[in-house]
Amino acid sequence: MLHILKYRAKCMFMNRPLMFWTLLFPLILTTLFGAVLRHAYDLTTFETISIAMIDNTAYQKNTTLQKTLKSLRMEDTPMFKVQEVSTKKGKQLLQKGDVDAMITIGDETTILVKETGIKQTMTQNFFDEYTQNEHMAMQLLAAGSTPEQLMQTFTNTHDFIKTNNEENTNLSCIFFYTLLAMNALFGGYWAINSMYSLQANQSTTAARIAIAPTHKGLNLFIDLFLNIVFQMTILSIVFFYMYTILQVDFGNQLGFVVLAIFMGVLAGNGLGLLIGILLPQKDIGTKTGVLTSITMLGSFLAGMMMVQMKYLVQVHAPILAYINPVNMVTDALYSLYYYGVGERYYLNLFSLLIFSLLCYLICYRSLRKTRYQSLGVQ
Amino acid sequence: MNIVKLYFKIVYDKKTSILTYLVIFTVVFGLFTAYMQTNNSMPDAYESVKTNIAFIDHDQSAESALLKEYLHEKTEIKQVGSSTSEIQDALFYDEVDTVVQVPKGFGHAFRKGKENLLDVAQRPDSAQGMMLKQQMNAYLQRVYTYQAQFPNETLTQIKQRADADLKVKSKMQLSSGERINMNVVTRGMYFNYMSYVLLAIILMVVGLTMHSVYRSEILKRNSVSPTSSLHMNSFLVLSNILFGIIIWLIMIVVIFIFNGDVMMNTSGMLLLLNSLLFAIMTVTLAFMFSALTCTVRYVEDVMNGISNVVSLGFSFLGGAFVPQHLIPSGILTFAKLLPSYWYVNLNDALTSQMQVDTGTWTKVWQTYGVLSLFAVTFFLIGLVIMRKHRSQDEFVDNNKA
Repeated sequence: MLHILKYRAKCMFMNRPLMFWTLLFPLILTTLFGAVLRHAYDLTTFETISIAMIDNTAYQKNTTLQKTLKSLRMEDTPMFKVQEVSTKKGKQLLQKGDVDAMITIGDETTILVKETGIKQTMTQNFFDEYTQNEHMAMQLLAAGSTPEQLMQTFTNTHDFIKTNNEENTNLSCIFFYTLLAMNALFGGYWAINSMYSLQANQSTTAARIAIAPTHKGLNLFIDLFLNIVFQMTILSIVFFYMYTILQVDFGNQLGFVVLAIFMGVLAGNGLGLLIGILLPQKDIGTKTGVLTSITMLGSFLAGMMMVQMKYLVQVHAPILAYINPVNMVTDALYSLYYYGVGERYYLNLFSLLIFSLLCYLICYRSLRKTRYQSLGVQ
Repeated sequence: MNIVKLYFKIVYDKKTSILTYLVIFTVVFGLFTAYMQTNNSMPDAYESVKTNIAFIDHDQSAESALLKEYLHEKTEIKQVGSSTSEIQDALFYDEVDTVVQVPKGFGHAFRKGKENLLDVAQRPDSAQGMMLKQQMNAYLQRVYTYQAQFPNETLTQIKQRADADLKVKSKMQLSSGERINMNVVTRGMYFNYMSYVLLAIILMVVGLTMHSVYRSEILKRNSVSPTSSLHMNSFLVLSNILFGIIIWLIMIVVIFIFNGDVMMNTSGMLLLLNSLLFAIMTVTLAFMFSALTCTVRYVEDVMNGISNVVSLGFSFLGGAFVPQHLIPSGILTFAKLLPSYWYVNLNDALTSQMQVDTGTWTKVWQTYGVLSLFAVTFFLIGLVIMRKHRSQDEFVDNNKA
């Protein structure tokens, strides 16, 4: 057994194209992702809104508004950067994009904008609230409040909101999780290669092995064992690269991350075996092409190229999420990062286990007691 | 013509790979277009940005109903399910920006003026979230103030007072100019993603086909035939370009089916020309790679690898998948060495405005020039390498691999 193990390991290690697909290609993609995507989905914090105030009589008399505009802050950032200009200059600044809005104070406050956006909406909200507070003050004065009481009303405000900012909301992590998941499924290439080397009707090497005195089950077991060991080693290198060099956040439960990756490798191996067995007459290039297509489609639906696709599939077509092994691994890693170890993580692991068992069962039934009438291997 | 027929016979063998990419891309894009058009609309008149929120009411009191009615006017309340994981997933994937949970006893505590009542979960540092928090607080403060000043009035009367305040609004005006509609945005995305599909298909198919033709024994057989090398190579080049144009045409038919109404204008035509130039540039890139790899074994694996690495690499770095304004400036500087960057940059410029102004025309000619230059450069490099190999007779019989 050790003899077979040693030489099968050597054969696998010398297979340069497979080493590229399973090791170098993920590392190249990871580097690309790290360069482009790591901070791509960082939320833009609030930026000061640039406005042009038309310097007319109404604005000049409204010193309260002038003071408020200059002193207002959003967290620690000034809310507005004010330029007091004429109407013509204001329109020019707006057209050039130097200001986000042009405001004219009068009987009615007019806000001229070039486009719909968050800055324009925030400007609108501020001026709406300012005039609404003026209206409220008039209502309270009409009801008999004194100016002192009014001052107290506007200064003694309440904060009715308890904010819980979500931790761990880095959306770009999903790209790296799908990459790991895709890489786990790429372990199927080794399995396809194993079937090519072991099924007597697929290659001359396999025909020779078939007539050797070693047990077919033992050969298969050794290949599966080596496939899993190789792929886990490769994935460990990729994971190490992501975690330490690129500092991708996987949460705090690294042991469970490794377990999820291991289940992904099992699933990938099973899928590769299944493809290798179900397409015996096709050449190895076609089989790897099929595996690549399935994996890339699964990766796309798991959010690799468009991260929101994962959520869309989950909401609108959940069955696709449950049968896609790439999504199962991605979701397991995501649930560890966002929720920690829990029901969702175990559900994904269980799904992967079922998927793997199904693949291995089908392969076992196909391979068991296979006999060949004639081996016309090319 | 025999050469062209031979070329397309070889290409026909790769039909599975070609169809896989085209069908998957078309189906996914079709679904995405349908989703974008039903869930997003860009109005012609000014409309304020509405934050997407989830509102969960555990109190079911008059005060919580009042708040919900207010939020209904100001935000887009989405149904994201009731379980914690559904709500948190919606927050993570930016389906909603804020989740407002009204705890039991809110109405009673609000009347007493207690603070920190509403549970608001949001993504950290979200500008929209900050704005919404401020709006909610301001409204609740307004209602509370009226309740304190008019303690004998009912909630309905208080609401009327608050609504009277809210009717006082600024007048919003949009400056003149055409608005970008959602079809234009979708069109831009299609042309950006198209670059990936063109690269993936053309690199693989052209590369493998050229390898089939330039196999050692085939080349040597052809060299003693009455067909001159110049004649053969010219027709091979034409066949490559023809294949590239066919794939491009198929993709153009798809965009016309989904978004034909926004293609029949100047920017649509410029996008078409941009994508055609990109397709031809990709053909020459494939030719260069096939020349570089003509002496390797495991040709299919190598070309597969090149096709995937180059198509994904160019697309990510060039901004086809992730918008260019989100890519770090250092990476973007490097990306300027790639043709994808220029292609996507022009697509984005043509998508961001309805009319093509002078500045954009300059960018158009600049991009076309750069893409043409890339095409010529790749072609010349491929020719030089092929000539060098031929003179050294380095072609390997890949069948012996």
